[in-house]
Amino acid sequence: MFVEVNDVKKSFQMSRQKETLQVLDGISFSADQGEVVSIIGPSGCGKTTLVRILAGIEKQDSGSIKIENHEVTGPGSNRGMVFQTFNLFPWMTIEQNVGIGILDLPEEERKKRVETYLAMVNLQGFEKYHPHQLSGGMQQRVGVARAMALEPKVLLVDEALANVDAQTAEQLMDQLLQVFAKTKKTVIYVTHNMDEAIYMSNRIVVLSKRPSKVIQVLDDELPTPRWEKDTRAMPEYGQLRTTLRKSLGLAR
Amino acid sequence: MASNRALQILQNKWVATILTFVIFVVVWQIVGSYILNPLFISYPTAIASAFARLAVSTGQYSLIGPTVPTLLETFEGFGLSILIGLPLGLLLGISRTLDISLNPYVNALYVTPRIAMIPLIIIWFGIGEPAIVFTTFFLSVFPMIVNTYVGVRDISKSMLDTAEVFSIRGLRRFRYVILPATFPFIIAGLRLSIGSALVGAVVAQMILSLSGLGYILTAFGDFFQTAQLMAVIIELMIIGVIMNYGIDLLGKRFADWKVTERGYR
Repeated sequence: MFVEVNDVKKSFQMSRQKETLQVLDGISFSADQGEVVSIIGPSGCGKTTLVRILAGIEKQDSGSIKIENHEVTGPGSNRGMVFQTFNLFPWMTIEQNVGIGILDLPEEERKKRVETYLAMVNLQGFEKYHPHQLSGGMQQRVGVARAMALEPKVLLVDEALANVDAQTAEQLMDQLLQVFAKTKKTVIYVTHNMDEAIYMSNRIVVLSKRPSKVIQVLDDELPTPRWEKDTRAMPEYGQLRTTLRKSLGLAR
Repeated sequence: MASNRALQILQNKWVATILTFVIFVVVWQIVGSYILNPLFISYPTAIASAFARLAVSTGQYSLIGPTVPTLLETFEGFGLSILIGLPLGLLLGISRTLDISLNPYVNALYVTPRIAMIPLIIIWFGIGEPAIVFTTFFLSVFPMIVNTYVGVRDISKSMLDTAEVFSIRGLRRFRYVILPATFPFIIAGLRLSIGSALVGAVVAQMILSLSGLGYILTAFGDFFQTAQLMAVIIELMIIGVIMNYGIDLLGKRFADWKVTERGYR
């Protein structure tokens, strides 16, 4: 398996109280190379904690995470991350932001990568702008380009569309799918939105409420390439959505 | 309607500013010369003529000559504050250990009326330029330290997380994240610091010197020359405004992302 998450547990010490809050109660799942695996679950179930552990900026209490059989022990450039709140550096231009993770590369190569990935998210011409001059959707595309510029083995996406309006989110979904398809990236895609999960992924990992466990792993075999409005109109889409609703405990 | 039109004119920013200024000056002129004894606050025409006379005269009791030591001492103290306060503020912000061990003293000194130190400074340095520069430094270094420190501490967790995810560590972290993120606070620190430096230089000159704007302020006061005294105060006001403006320009030049992001700071 390309990405293996094995029995990951995590609790947080609540400040001033003795009790601990257990967030993750033994999460296991895996992802094949080139697969998009969505993680979905009710809000507060620890999806973000899980993705932070995958990114290496949070430490699990027990369990292991392996990428290509290498144990994840901290942050590294084999993983790129797209944040819910974009997290661009406001003092940098767009091209500086996109190039920030690849400072070790020779200047020439760096420039080329920045160019390539800005083009991939259709932001040529905005190199010298600052983030605040761009719309939310555009800022998030910069976020995607920045993560992709690492040419990571795994792309981690944490509720990337939660802070853009519905229309922009739909357009972004199509753009993201194109990027995923073009680069054949392995993607761990965290979301709380069922339609997003169904539309974006090859498999969907459904988490329970906190302390969360994996309730079910659904295969998502809707035909590719997918287009937002066409895919949603398919009968298989409706069936999968019903299954997912049941799994999340929203329907019987 | 005519009254509407008048209201519109009044709402124009410049019209309002100039009108208030004119009213203020006229009222001051009347109150200062006819109602009150001119000794108290003098009045605009007397101050204007005193200002003009002092501006063209030379020697100890003029506006130009004494400005030189005042500005020199202000900038010497301010420069020392930058040299010492800026790195110290950054270090306090970055290092947890330094923060815990030094911050109580910085805070205590920050809230102490620092002018109370002047007698001690006289014991250390005697009377003269070193004592004045030290007072200036001592007054202006704390705003520099504290603002820089707060700036480092204000950097959001998400920015630091992002730096971590993209493996920006050590010196790179300082150069690409901490320093630029702190910059608007450093500018605010510079503004407060240069203001305090001017206060420090003037106060120190009032007590410790026989030259400079601080000294002639006391001298004019001793001779009850209120108009001349006011002229010096106005000159200090102008100097303060210019210094502030200079720092603002610096901020706009190097931290324009902040200005445009939040409108006004």
